[in-house]
Amino acid sequence: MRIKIVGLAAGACGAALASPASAEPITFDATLVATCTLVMTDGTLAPNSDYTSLSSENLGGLAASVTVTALGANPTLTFDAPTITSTNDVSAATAQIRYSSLDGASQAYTSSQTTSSSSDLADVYTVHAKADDAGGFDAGDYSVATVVTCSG
Amino acid sequence: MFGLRFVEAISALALVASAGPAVAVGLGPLEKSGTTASERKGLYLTVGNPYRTAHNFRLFVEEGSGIAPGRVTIHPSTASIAPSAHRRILVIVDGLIPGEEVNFRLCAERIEERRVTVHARVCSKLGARRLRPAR
Repeated sequence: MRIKIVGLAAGACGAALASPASAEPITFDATLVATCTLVMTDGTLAPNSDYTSLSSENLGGLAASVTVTALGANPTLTFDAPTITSTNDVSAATAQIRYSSLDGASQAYTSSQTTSSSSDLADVYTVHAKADDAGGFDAGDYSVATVVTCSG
Repeated sequence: MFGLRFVEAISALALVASAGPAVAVGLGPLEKSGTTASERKGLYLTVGNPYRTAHNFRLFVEEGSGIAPGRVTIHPSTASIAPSAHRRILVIVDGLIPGEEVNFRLCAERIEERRVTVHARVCSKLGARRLRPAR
């Protein structure tokens, strides 16, 4: 009888060892948030031969660049309508920008607000600006500016 | 008039604006919302300075984006951030009435010390909703 009891106990112990005690999953969690980073490089305006146009595409001019790095989302870039400022009267001048990106975005010269969607992790926009005044620009400092907004 | 300008050709070199250093700003998340049982709701954002030198940034509620700016408190609304560093920002929406939901855009931009050709701004869509009281 004693042998029988010991045998039963040993059998139960063996069964317990053979089956898994409990299955606990190991989980690795992560929360990703969408972010957008803009890095800009200013451009340069240069006059044409008769001073009726200031442009980053004239000789001596330089395009601005916008590098967009977006994580976790495809953000929208909004280019505000460009403005021209100067110590001189620029009421007759019209400012415009155009841009293109490595990812294929393209916008012809416009004086209006435009938007562009970026679908890659990173994209680089080349932005050109110009201001035209048929009456000509007087000597002085001029600046064409736009605001680029990255939003989700 | 063109002749006059020709005489002024040398001084007209001032027409050529010099290319300046890059400006940069980063903000995340681009979208965030939450619910609250009280009249206030806080949301955290992170502003980053990806530039190589320290800069001052400002945060503000975009005009006409869905809420009176006076109902939103931003801590801090301006921040000096070290190069390649981030700063957590607390945005508090106040005055929520039961059942009210507000959505607005909060933007971050560098405080420019000079005129720049392209001004960088990143905006997040934020939302806050106050629960209705249980009946």
